[in-house]
Amino acid sequence: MFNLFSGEFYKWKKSKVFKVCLAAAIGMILFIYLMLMLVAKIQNGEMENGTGGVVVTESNMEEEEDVFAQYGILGIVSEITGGGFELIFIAVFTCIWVVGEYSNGAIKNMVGKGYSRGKVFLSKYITTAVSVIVMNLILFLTMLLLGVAVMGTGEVNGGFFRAFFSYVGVQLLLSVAFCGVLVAVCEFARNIAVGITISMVLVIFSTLILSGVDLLFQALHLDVKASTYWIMNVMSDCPMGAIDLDFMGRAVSVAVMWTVLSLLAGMIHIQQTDIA
Amino acid sequence: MEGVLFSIVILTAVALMILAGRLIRYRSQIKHMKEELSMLRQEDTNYRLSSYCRIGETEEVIRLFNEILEKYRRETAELKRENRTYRESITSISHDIRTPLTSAKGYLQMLSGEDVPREKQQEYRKTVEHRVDDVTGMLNQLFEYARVEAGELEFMLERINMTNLFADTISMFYEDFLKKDCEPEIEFSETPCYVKADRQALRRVMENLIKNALVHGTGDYKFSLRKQGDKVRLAVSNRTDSIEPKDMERIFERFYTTDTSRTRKTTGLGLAIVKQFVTRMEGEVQAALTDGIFTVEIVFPCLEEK
Amino acid sequence: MEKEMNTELVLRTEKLTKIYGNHKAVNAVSMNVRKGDIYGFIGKNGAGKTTFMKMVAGLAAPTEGSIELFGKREEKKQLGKNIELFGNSEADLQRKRIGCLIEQPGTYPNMTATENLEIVRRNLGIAEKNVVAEILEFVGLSEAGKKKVKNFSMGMKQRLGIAISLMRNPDFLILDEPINGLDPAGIKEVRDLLLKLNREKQITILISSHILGELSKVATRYGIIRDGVLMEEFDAEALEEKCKRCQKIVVDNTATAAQILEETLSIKNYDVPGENVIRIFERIEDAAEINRAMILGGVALKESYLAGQDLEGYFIDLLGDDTKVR
Repeated sequence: MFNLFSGEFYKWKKSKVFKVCLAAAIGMILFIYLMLMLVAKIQNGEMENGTGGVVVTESNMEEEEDVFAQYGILGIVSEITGGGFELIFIAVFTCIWVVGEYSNGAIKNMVGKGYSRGKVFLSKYITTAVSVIVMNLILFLTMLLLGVAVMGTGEVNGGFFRAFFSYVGVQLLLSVAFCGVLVAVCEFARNIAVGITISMVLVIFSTLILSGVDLLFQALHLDVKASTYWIMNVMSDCPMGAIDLDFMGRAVSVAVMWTVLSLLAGMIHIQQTDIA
Repeated sequence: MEGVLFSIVILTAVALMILAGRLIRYRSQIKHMKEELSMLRQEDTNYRLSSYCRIGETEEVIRLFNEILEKYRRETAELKRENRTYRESITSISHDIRTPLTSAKGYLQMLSGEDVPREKQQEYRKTVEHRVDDVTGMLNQLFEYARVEAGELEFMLERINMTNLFADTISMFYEDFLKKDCEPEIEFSETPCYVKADRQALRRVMENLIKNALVHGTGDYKFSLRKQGDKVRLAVSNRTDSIEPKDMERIFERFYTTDTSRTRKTTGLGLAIVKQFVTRMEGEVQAALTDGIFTVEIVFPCLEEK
Repeated sequence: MEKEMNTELVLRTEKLTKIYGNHKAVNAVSMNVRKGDIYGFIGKNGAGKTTFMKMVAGLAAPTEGSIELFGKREEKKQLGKNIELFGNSEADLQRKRIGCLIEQPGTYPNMTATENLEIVRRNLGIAEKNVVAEILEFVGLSEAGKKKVKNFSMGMKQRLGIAISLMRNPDFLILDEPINGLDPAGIKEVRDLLLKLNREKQITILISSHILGELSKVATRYGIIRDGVLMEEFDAEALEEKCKRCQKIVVDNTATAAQILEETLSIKNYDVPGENVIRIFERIEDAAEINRAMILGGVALKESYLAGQDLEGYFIDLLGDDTKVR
């Protein structure tokens, strides 16, 4: 198993997938901040509305503050990540990283070589999870630094860091769980197009579908909210700042449940399915 | 105060985790090595010991072990092959010796019979003598080789005019070439070449090369002695149809002979002796086969002319 | 046949079967590969060669039957029953001693040959770092080590695949159509490579092909597969015997004819493959004399002709009529 890690790490270093995904995500963050800066300038009257195609519709005109002042560094971070923005890049990376082994046939060099298939899957999952953690950390750090650069260190203090790190911690935990689901999806799909499609559907539409399910349950007078147990809902529900024990318990249990479920499913699938 | 305590606890925990990780990896590595070693002991395999994880110097241990294993396997394979040739050659040498002896015995029986004309008696005696000479020659070669192998032969290295020696040796085989009805092409350097060698051994090397050519050659004999830079090159070449490219790498092996017929006249020691002698006298020897022409070349460092 | 009993078997399958849907891709194949064999596995495309090899290599699970590798047996894994997440059967452990190249070699196209081999080296836990360079040299790819695999020619890719399969010094090499798509020079190179591995390292080789001519120069044993069924298994010598040129005579009484052959003509090397047929392998050129002796001996000679299945004709018969064997 350690040997598999060593091989994966070498591949990770040599392959461009991770770097490209990370660069794309950072570029996206830069773009968002640039847009926000434009918005702020328009709000402050420094620029005419409509500059660069940005139209700001002021919902409540009494508000004196611009968008930065309104949300603050942490607010913007939670606005960006709460929508599952970085999950798109994680999904693309995971698909290429995991399905690639099947599409180029390199999985044949690992299966049937003395390692059990469960270990092959597990090593793939662990390296993906570590990559996801690294990617997330870099993205959060970028957002933090950009925030400080734009808004200054005014709100940075002990409480700020406590809020930031607890938020990041919960997000990391949940994204690792989400990455487990993605790896399992890729293992089931074993095809890059199918894998990316399903992953994207999960990232973009899962919350929507679940709210539909919630409505359905409600109509059936069932006292279950399915969305409570889905990773992405927990991610967007995560408050910035004081995280209570209730929420912590929910986040951890949801993360553990999905990780265990997807790992089991993936490991059983790899063991029972022939390598084409 | 509380902060310090907290960080100490955290640091200790981290250190403990790292240590535990190392311990686990060490243990897994040892367990893995044990499993593979017991497999290696049971099976006849090419498999080498592999590593479970990179920890400490264990990989170095594995590399060293594999080196020893590889050496052992190479030697075993070599030994097996040598044993096979050796067994084969014992059989063939016995055959080689028995054939002339049986023939000689036959003639002796005829001689002891009555009514053998005088001139016939003379002829029979000659034949017997020839047969015995053949056997003696073979035994001498065997004995000589055994002594070289054992390192018993003392070499007296002295300054020798190689050109003269070679001309002298070739002339001894003049009749054999006449019998084969062909004239060898001979090419000598203009000035005599001097080398440092043992006279007897060098003569034996030359004899063996010429004999070898006579036995395996089918024509196009060529002997050349050339000076090239600070080297003296002696080459003996001949056309052959019994030597194939696959023989080339084993041609200097003892008892190796391309002649597998029952009536062969070689022990497969001639070139092995050449190689032994030449190397002992700090020369080099190589063989080549190009377009059916077989060439053996020996190279010695050239001495200054006086 | 005593030889067969005593020789160690590297691979033994028993009624190995693989069913995809309703289609039996491999149908009760019982194969024996002896140590030191170069086993030519011949069948047309889609006959089940690759599926069989995948099962042996541990990539696909058999539907029925068992595989025995180096004397260690593997029963078919039963769905739903013994699911072991980290489990490994004993045969699975023996797979460490197998090197395989099945279908396309598994490589990362955006990485160089050296990097690809380095990944395999790490995955397999080979402690010797120089193995990568040595193997590249061995398969003649030293020059191309720094080239990305996506720029490789078909032949180079195949050689890289062989390099991957050799990384662990295997005892048993499974090669699926390794000479497919190679030019004549490449084919010769691979053939020499296989012979070298077989002779110098005593590596047993299972090699599949639909190109028969190329295998006939290396194989020591053959297995013919047709529509998933192993039609026949025989040694190279037996094949030679089968395809020997011979004089075939059709007579009314084979017993008398045989006696005439032995007594009058002193021919011992003949056989009686059919009810009225005798094949004579000696003195084929003396057909006239044989015929005369038969008639003089009172044997009604119905037909007499020079036969000799050529190798290709023989295989075309075995593989099925619609096959084109090149």
